[in-house]
Amino acid sequence: MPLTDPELVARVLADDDRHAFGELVRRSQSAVRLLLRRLTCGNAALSDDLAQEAFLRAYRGLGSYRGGARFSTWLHRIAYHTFLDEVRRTHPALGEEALQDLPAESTGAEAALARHDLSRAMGVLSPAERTAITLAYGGDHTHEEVAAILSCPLGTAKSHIARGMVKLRACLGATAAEGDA
Amino acid sequence: MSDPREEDLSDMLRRENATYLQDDGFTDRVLGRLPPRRARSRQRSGIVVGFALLACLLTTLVLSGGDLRPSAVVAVFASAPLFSVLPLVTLVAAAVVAAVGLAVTASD
Repeated sequence: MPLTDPELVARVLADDDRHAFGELVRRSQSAVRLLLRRLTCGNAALSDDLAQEAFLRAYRGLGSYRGGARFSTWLHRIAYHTFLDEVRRTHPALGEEALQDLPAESTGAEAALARHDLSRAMGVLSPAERTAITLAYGGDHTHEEVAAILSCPLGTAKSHIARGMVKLRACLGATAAEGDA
Repeated sequence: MSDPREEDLSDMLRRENATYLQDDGFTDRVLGRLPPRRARSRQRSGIVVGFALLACLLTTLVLSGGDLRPSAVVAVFASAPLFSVLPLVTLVAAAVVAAVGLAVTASD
């Protein structure tokens, strides 16, 4: 029977078991890279660099994983904060609030692309909205887990999801209207 | 009743986010960037205990004049009055060597 995530974590902590850590990476790499790909608006190279950095941070901070939350929730939180740190590094003048609400086009994605399809429409959302929607729809995370990953209250996480959906609908609606014209 | 457009968007999002990204060497690249291996915790404990035992042995050897027969060792400690300098020296020496052991394992 395959080991559970907490069992693998215990092995890494006890014996620095690299096979166990490799298994943790293998299990979660797709979800983490996908989230970061959404956050970087499809920039595969940057998202994979950030994903690697997130896994290295997870390895170094594994002792702080308490097992109360799912391992994937803990890991996604690290990935999200790794992305925010990257934005802080590339946009040092931004305040914390502006950082959370920064639309993707400000971080390098082109606004013009935002109307072509859903994945690009995600570019009009702030990082928090993109993360919340990616995790809540298809990421198999509850709203409580999304709040934990974003380090925000549950109500704020729900607002991110609701606001993001409104923006997406508006963006895709505009696309459809342009297509009909 | 839910808005059908909302359902469409939810389904689209679920489909998009259900994509599975193949590993394609990603895990190996992460493992390749991990810091050098730490000594296993059991090995570390063993090294520290070994150093402490070595310290006790060396101290006893010095104090008994090189005689390690059980009777000679017992005689060394039995002749020392309580709180005398002899057990104290033994303890300090053991602590010093154990600390060296800890430093060695910490630097692994």
